[in-house]
Amino acid sequence: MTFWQQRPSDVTVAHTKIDIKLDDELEDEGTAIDLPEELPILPLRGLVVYPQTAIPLTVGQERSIELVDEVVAGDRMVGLVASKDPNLGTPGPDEVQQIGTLATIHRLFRTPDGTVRLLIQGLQRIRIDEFVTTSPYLKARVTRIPEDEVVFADDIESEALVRSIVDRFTALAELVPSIPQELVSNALDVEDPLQLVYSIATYVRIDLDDAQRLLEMDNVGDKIRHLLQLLTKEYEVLSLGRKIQEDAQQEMEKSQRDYFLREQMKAIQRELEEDDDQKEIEKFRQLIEAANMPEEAQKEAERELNRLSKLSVAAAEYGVIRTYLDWICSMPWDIRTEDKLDIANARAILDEDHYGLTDIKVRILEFLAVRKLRAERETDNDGRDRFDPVRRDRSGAILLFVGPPGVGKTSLGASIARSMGREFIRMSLGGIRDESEIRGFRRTYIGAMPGRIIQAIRRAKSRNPLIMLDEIDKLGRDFRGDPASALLEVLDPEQNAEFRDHYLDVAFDLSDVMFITTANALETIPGPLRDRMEIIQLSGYTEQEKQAIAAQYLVPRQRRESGLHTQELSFTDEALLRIIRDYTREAGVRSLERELGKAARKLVTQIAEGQLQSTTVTEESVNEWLGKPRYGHRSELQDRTDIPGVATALAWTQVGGDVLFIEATKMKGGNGFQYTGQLGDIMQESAKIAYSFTRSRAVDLQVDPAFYDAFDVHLHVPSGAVPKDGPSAGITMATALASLLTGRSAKSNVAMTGELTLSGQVLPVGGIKDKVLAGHRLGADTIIMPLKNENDLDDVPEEVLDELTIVLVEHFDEVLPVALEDGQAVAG
Amino acid sequence: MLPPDETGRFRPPSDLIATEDRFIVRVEIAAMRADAFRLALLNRRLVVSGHRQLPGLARASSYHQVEIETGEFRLEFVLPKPVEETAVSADYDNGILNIELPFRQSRTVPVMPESRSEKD
Repeated sequence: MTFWQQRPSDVTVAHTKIDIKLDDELEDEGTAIDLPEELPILPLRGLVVYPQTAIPLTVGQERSIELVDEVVAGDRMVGLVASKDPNLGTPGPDEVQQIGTLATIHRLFRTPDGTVRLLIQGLQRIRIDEFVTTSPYLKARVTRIPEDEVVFADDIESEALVRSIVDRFTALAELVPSIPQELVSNALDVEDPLQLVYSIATYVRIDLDDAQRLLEMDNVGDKIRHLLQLLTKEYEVLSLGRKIQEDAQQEMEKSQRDYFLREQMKAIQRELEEDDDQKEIEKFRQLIEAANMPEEAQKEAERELNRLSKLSVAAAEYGVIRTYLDWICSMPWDIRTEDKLDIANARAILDEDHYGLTDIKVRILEFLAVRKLRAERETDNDGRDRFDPVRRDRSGAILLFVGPPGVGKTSLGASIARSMGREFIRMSLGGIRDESEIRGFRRTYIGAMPGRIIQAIRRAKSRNPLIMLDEIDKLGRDFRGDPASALLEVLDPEQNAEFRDHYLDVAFDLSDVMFITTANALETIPGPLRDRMEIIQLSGYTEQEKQAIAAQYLVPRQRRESGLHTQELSFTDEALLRIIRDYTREAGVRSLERELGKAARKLVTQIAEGQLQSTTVTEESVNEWLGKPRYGHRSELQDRTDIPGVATALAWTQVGGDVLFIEATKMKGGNGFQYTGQLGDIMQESAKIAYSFTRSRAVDLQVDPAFYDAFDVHLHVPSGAVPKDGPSAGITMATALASLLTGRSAKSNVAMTGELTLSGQVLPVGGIKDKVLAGHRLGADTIIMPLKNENDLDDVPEEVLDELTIVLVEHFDEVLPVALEDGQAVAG
Repeated sequence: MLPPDETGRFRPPSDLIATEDRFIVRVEIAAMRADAFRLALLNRRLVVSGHRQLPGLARASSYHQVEIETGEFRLEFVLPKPVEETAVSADYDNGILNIELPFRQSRTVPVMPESRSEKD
């Protein structure tokens, strides 16, 4: 090493020479501070200043400011000690710590409010030996306390200790945002362990007592260990605090984020839909006005519209109310079609659409005529005597068409609507089980909608349409309610002016609606419902009627549907008759139409293949077009009644009249009488009556009285799977039994109906027309029936009666001579 | 102005400049007596220190701002390359201490690179 030295005399400068020398202090620092004899003491509140650290201080007390002024004017040295109680305003000598720090004041700045800010630099530890004065500020004699800078004897151990405190501080600094990163790196650049401890202690929040202890410790190793403990504790507190804060923050951020997003969404929606929204409400307002509703409905609609205008488009309720307003506004509150009351025109339309059905047409024309007259008289301004104070003025009508399938009930409804110029709405009630289907669902339910009646009216767009309720006899009924009872209100002219659908919840006047219902059978229609309707029976068609219907309506229609010209397909009358007789067996004309359609399609195929241009189906060529006859005409009666014990009954079913073969047989036994064939209660009684009656007439029938002891008698009514009931097979059963007992076969051309009493009286029965037609259709030429039903024959078409022999009987005695072979009078 | 060092000595502002043949160190420190400076040079370390005492004021004066440092000061420079120790000169004029340190001639620079390149 080469030390360079210049003697003072060697350096000469303009004004002064400068002494350049080898300075002892080049490596040895900080020892040159002279302690003044009396050091001004500045007590600090809640703060310990360490040696070798710079720190800003604020001084506000008057005596402290005075102290500062004097110190700055002098050597700028001050002793800093912590006051024992940080709450104390002006601590006296006993109230400050004994050990403090010598410091110099580097900067001073007095703020406008009078407080003084200082930048001070801690230098060394001092102990206060004695206070020399307390006024105007504290002054004391002090001595320097040297630091014991040996961390550990072992360098490695001290290195480890230093590193661990550095690590701990770095970790802590990450948790405390108030410690800037450059301060951290500055602090860590310090190599001297003592300085490291002091600078770390300055940056970290430490309890006053701990800070004072740190200052007072002599050994730097102890200081490091103590500080390490404090840092660890602080780190744990901070990290826990941060975790709590983070959790809270997360929670808050989430809810805040949600809130912001929602607000934004609302704002966007407002921007997008404000116009639409207003337009929609305005639209509804106009609709409500235009609908010309009754007061109640108008109020309700306006109330709902008011609610709608207060709702956001996104609200769930919005859609519900909108739908409701849609409904209520689109109801035809004030729209009605003008009835065409031209009777002649109506008659023409009805005749055009339907063959026969004279009674019904007459009833409809009557209805129209009454309407017409009333309409004319009302304009006379002479309504007083027609005004009924109790009963409502009714203009609707409720008709019930009962008859077998395929006789034209539904299409009749359509033609009535056409002839009257009303809207026609048809709905099938078959299988409806829920009362709400009729009367609607309460608006409170999700997906609620009005009932079918209101829906139908809306579809009709008129408040006086003709509504056809099909299959009213097939209404279901279960735990959800009874739709038939709901229909009571609809179909009662007294009540339906105030029909209140659950969904609309305002009264809608149905009294102008013309209801037509259809059913196959009256029996399953609940009594109260049936009472409200005017029943019109439609019977099956006769062969002649069917033939006419086929020629006039069905053949042209099938031609149309197959795209054929008139000249391309025609049927002779005989061919039609043969189809009716041998290919169909029904009261209506549905199968007949199907058969005709089949022939038409076959012809179309052949034309397409180029085999034929046109054809006329004749009686002989029917086989070619339709295949083998499905029913052997007139053969069944023959076959079935060949053997004794079988007689032919006429029955009435929902699908029209039919024949039943009642069979009886005998066998050895003596157990009496039994019957089978799913007989209803009434029919079982009929069977018992027939048995008892024939037994009581054993002598007349030339039957051995002992017969009943030796033989069992069994009566059966096929088909076994079909339930049957009613008393009208009484005389037939007795005839079958008589045939069995006498061994004389029943005549195959005779069919009969009539209720039998025990005394042999023959009582009247229902459904005569259908029964006679069925007997005729199936090939019987003699019909035995009660005398008291004679009037019913008026309904039977002349041409049928012409072909039949009708035997009217009052007593069973008159039956057997006609019914059984050999014609001998048995009675007598 | 730099903050005071850890022993409380202040650091006046200074420049270290390299010219073609020398370093020039300038320290801005007013109100000094020329003999109050202590200059020391050890290899490439130059230490400038001293003590400044401003004239005292009447008691009961009240300071509103204090930025002028007094008392001990100390500056330490590490020179980028060796200087000719015997040729250093300094003067103090108008509150500026000016120290000139001529570069050392190459004769005394130990030459090492040859042996290193042989190893490579």
